[in-house]
Amino acid sequence: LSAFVSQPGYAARALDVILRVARAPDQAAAVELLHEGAQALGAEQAVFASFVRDDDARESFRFLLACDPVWCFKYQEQGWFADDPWLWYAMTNSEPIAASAIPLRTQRQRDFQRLAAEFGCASFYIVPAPSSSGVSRLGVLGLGSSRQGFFESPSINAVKVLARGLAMELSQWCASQVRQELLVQCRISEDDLQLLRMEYAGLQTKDISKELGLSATSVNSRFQRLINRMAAPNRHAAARLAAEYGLLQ
Amino acid sequence: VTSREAAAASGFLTFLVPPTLLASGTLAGQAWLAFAAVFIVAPLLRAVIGEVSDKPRQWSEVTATVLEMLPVVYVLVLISTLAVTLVCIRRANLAAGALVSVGASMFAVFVLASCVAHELLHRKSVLMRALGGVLSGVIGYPLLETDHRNHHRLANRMRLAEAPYPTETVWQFSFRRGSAVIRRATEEHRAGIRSHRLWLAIAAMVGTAALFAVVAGVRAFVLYLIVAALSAWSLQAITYLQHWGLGTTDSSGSDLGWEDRCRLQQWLTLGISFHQAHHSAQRIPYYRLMVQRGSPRMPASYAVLFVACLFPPLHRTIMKPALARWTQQPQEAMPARRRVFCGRLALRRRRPGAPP
Repeated sequence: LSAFVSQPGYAARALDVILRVARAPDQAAAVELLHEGAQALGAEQAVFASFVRDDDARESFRFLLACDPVWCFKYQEQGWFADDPWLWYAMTNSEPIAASAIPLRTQRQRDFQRLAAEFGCASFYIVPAPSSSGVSRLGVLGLGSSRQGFFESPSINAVKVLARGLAMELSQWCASQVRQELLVQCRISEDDLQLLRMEYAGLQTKDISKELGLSATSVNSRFQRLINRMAAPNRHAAARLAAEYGLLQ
Repeated sequence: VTSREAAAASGFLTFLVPPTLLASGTLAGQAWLAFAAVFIVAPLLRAVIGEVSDKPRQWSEVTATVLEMLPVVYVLVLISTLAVTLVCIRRANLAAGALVSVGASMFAVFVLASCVAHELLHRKSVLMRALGGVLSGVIGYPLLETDHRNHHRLANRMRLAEAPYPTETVWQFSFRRGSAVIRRATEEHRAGIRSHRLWLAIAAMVGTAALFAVVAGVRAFVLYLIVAALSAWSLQAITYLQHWGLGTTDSSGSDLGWEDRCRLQQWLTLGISFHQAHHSAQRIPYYRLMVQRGSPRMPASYAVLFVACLFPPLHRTIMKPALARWTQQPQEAMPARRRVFCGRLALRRRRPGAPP
């Protein structure tokens, strides 16, 4: 790794990729950038996952995969997300870490690591992408190398800074995609978002109606339609949900 | 809130009936009431009460908030009910036959209470999930959360015991799945995954068992343990019913599950009967769930199929035509055999000259 990060133009190449992530038009382009980013950081394979904290159902998971597809297939087949120690690390920590430093407590976790090594990830670097307070969507970037001890090198700090940048940009990109999906799926308009922002700020119906120049009945009926579309029990829960998904930013 | 909406919402109060019948039945010396209501009256009533509409119901904010809180009310009702039952057992010094009746009714209540625990475990709020964990412990299945979390992640994968193999009986499947659930719970505990709620659920179970022992003696304690074991087994059997014939061997699994439009069943199970819809969108609360278009439809109620699956040839005789019909015409919601169990609907649909 030391030789790799001391190459001329190392940081510039990685930065170039990081800067392009926000403009990725679709998932294919994002995966391509993930692949390029991983190569720029010395990795051969990369995985990015974006998910909502405490989502036991795993409904919120979005993956960008620039790795061996057979590995992904095996991961899915075995339902490994239930035991994945790297994923659990990212849910509760924000510091990038070499996978070898994460203790493996169960046989399945050891099997998981062995499988990763079999598919070219003998050394793996985990880069969590935490979110701001109130927003529950997180991300984690995983960089893999087939060279034993590659990410355990003392030069890892040169990768750490850039990998964090890449992870945060990918996380932002995924969050914006999910936001867009939610807006379309629940048919939420800009006016609805304004209502939700006011509710989240703690405004009463009377204040909202005064602010928007609408009658209280009209505000109530707009909230009524909105909470049904968002499958929330009431306006407070709808506003909280919107905030958690970053819709109110 | 319109009176129509209030009437529709009040149907969900039905799920409070079995625990209430358990307490009132035990008080009146008719401890079998709750069991009879769930396993005899409810399957008969489904023909009278009819089916849920295909159109999504829009609830007002007030009604939705009340419905959201109803499972919490249920937990309070259940705990009070168990307290009353315990006191009755202690005071009446029940004979063995009466104790069996109490046990049967407790079993019926516990199995339905697992639906409430399930609903709470799917909530976003940590407090609600903790309450779901406590309830799962009280009904004797503290592994419900681990079990269910993995059930969603690995849905319909036969090899991982989340759906039965085509020739597997409920007895074989429940043993295979029960072992898998215990193995996964042990692994998760070792890995430190969500173990705090597992301990909470175990504490709730131990606490309930201890209360039975202290308040009503050893016989009540043994009764609780037997009912708890039966409830835990029944939940494996219910998974068998919900996914029979729909399992996959591929890596991605599927959301397929047997559904039932029966309104009474929706009320009693808090929408578990819309099983495929629940698998497709797990965060949708019970009062907003609706049957999925093209899903396989159960030919009878859970109670009837539960009894039928205890006799594998009978279960296969009922289910095979329903599966064949769904496989051939997934969009045709009504399996032929359903007519046997849903009389009113069959009468309404039969046109003059049509074959019986």
